[in-house]
Amino acid sequence: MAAVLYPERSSWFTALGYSPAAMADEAALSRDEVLARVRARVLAAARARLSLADAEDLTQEALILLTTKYAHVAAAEELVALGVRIVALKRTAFWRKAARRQAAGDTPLGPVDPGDGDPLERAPADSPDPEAITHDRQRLSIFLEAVTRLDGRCREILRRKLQGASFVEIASELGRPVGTVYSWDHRCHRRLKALLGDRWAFVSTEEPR
Amino acid sequence: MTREAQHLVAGYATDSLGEAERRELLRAALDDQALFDTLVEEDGLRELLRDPAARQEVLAVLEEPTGWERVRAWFERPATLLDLGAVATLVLVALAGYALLAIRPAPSAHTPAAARPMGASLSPQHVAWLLQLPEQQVAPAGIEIAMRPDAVLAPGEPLHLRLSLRAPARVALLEQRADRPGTQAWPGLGQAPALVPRPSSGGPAIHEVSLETPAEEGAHRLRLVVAPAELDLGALAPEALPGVSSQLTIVDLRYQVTQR
Repeated sequence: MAAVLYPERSSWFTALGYSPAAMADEAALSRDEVLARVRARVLAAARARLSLADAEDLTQEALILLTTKYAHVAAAEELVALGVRIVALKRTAFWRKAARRQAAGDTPLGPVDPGDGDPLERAPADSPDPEAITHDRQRLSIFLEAVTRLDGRCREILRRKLQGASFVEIASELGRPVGTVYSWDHRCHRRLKALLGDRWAFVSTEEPR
Repeated sequence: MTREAQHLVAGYATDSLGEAERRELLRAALDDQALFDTLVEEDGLRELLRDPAARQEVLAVLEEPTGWERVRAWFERPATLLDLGAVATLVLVALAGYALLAIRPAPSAHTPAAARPMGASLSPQHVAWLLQLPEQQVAPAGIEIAMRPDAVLAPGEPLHLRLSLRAPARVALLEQRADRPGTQAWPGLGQAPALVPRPSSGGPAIHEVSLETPAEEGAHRLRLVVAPAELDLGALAPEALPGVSSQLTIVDLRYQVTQR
């Protein structure tokens, strides 16, 4: 793994700032221990944008999903991925409801129900949610506009990534070290986010600014 | 959050991390709140790009060449006969344009005015009377030998003169040679004084006249006579000339003819 990701480094995990001992410790964690850490991450992420009560509600719902519907998931990284996804979607649902209430003239203050059920379950294809479709089209339109303004190198890296190429493959095609491609990609991503701007934040899972 | 983790976040958003990269990034997020928050922020983009239809639309945009790429591709393709013809035509047009600009003098105050004789010609009495008048400047006027400030010339040498005056005006150039009666040097003998029109540039009229120096050595004098455009000197009787002398500008040019 280390040879593929960062050939010049002994371990990618070390490169991230975590010791091999810590990595072994992660591997040895029980599911309950992982869930406890995921809960802390979800609560903190939710708390950054929501009131304490709303954040705790959101965290509670996320944990219920992880311990019931996704009880079969044991790998720490998969539980983190689910936690990330749930908090992102629940937060989006929260902001949409808040926006609807504000548009309807209700006070935006106070607890808002972030929505019941599993946010990872999309609406069935035969009954698409019109609001979700509009939301998706808006996001895509904003994204396409931003992409057209990227420079040639960023467009090329993004194109290759969307075609499924790995960083190692892109580095090989460009004749550059993979670390250089990581740096370029990071800069391109920052540029893309800057081009997406506030409109993207408004229609994405991020809080409107 | 470490720099390396930041670098992988962009790959997470486009779902282009390898399995090992993804696993380690997510494991790192378990204990790194900033990384976890960043992954949450990236979720919207990740969700968008996971939709195959949206991904295809983005790819279509990315595969469209930019304006600069189109220009570069045009120059990089093999040249055709049409290209060579177009280049040759452009070169010819550029050369022709340059030649036209280089040969055609730029319109300016130095453009010779289209002077032409008009009215009655001067009689020998008119010429003699005009030659005995003193020099006077009623209107600005001048006469010089072009490119020969020393005013010393050889017999029979071309004499290029430059007249400058306020136009419109009637102009004649008289010549006084030693021991000979004066003559009209320009316009030619028997022709009326030339009417010099107002130049289009609005400045003074510059007129170039080419004569030939006399064969006799010695000092010679040319006299520029400038009359108002409406004054036809040749039509006046010799005795009426003193009545118009105050309207005339008289400028002399003296030069030396020496055998070299």
